Amino acid sequence: MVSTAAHGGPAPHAVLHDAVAWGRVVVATAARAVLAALLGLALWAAAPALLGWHPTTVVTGSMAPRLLPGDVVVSRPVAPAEVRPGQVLLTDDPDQPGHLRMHRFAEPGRDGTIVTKGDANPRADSTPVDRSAVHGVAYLRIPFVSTPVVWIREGRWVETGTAALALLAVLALAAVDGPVRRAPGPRHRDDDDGPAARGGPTTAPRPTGGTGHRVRPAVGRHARRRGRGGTTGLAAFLVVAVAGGVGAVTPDPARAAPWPARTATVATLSAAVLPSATITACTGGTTATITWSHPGPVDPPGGFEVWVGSRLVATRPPTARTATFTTSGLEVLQSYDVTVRSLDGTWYGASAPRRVGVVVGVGALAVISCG
Amino acid sequence: MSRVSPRAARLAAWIAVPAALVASGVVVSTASYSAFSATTANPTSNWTAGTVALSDDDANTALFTATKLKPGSTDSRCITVTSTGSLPSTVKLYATNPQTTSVLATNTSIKIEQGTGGGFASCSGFTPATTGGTIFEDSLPNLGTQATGFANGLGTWTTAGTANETRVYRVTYTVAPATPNAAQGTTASIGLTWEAQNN
Repeated sequence: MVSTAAHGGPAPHAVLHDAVAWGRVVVATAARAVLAALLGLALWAAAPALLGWHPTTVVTGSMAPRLLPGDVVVSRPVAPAEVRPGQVLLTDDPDQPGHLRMHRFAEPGRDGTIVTKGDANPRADSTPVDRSAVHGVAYLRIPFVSTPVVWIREGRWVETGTAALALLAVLALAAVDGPVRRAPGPRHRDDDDGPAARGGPTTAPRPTGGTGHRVRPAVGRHARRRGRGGTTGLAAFLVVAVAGGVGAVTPDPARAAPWPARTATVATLSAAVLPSATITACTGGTTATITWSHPGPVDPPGGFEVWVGSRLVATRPPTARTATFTTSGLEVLQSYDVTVRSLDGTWYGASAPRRVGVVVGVGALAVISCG
Repeated sequence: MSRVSPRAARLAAWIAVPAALVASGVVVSTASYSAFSATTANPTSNWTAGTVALSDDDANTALFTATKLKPGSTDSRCITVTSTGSLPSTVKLYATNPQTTSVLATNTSIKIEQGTGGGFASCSGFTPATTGGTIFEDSLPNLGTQATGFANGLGTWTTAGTANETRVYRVTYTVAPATPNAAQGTTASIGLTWEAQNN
């Protein structure tokens, strides 16, 4: 049947037929170019991963206008010492574990850290990143190729579906020249170069007893099978390659973006200094008397203590202003500081010290002298 | 118009492929150069995709300026934090510039709660959230070392970004009753920063 159509002789509208044929070739060629360009971009995005480079999808606009959502950026691993300001770095997001961030190296931070900033952000990122968190320096930008990934992340299914339909349409258009490529031309040409142009083996042997007409259909069917298989295979290859290329890229969206907003307050705490007594008088003797004043405004809740050196010699109530103590426990010919502590819970205010001495008195009794 | 021979059609069909592959390479190299050449000026443009904005009602005054603290002293203040951004975001609370090495600081505990009601003027009406109401309860120095930035910040407030959202935080300090005498006259201070980052 194929041969019948092909050998139907000159058509009444041969010119129109030729124009349609040329149109099919042009459309299919353009569609193939689009597919090849997409495939090329996908390969640029995916192939560097074989070298250990790191493709990521930009999913936010914090590096606009240099990097836009939907771009794929391939980062090249570098030694930490080679990282320098101005470079665009792919780092672990210090603020959101498990996420990646792609921002510019703004300035060195403290302790060898790196302060990063999104070009479009008004401020630098709040948390500097360690040099060990740097995955690489952005090296290749493949514009827009991962836009469907961003759409899917954002749940924009209308755009995603439209893009998928557009891809299918281009795939279909790439095959519209099939009839032209398969159609046998003028007979003498086909006899000469038909099978050769296929480049494939002629599987149908020329029947010994037949005519040329018997052969053409066999070759035609063969060619059509191959043509269909080729187009389908090409389409499948393209879909797999593009999906694979994009798929290799999607696992690591570089979220970049955080545009931080902050508000702050401060808390300042100061501890009290307890008011302290002032020793106003000291009267010596075997029993010494010490007198003090207290500035108030209220009496110390815990009362007063009188210390001679490191020895507690008297405890007095809050209203008391005087105390007595003896030489008991004090060593002869020693000097001591007397202090009065005003108590409030575990805290106390200590008076300025007053010097006292213990001198030898009559018999075993010693006498305290006020300094 | 000449007839389209199958050979010409096949040739045309594939000639575009290498050209397109080369074109894609040119696109990538050009785009890469313009994106990463560090010698050109660093453009700053406002990112118009959305905003994250955060404010509070302290009118730039301190939450606490507590003086004459003694063992057992305690007080609470509330602060209302408002998110007005247009992007969904996470808000975290962390400490900044902690001055917490003093004896007073090591004997002071901090409790931070989140909830609703009340405000900077008064905590009257404050109700802690039923779940996750207390976001911090430990010593003051630990606040300064445990919550140092957004990554280890406190709280689990996620805004939807559609309308203004507020949350009230109540901060309570308590000076331990057994604070030693050496704490007298010492000071401590800590900044509390709320930061929102879009999700």
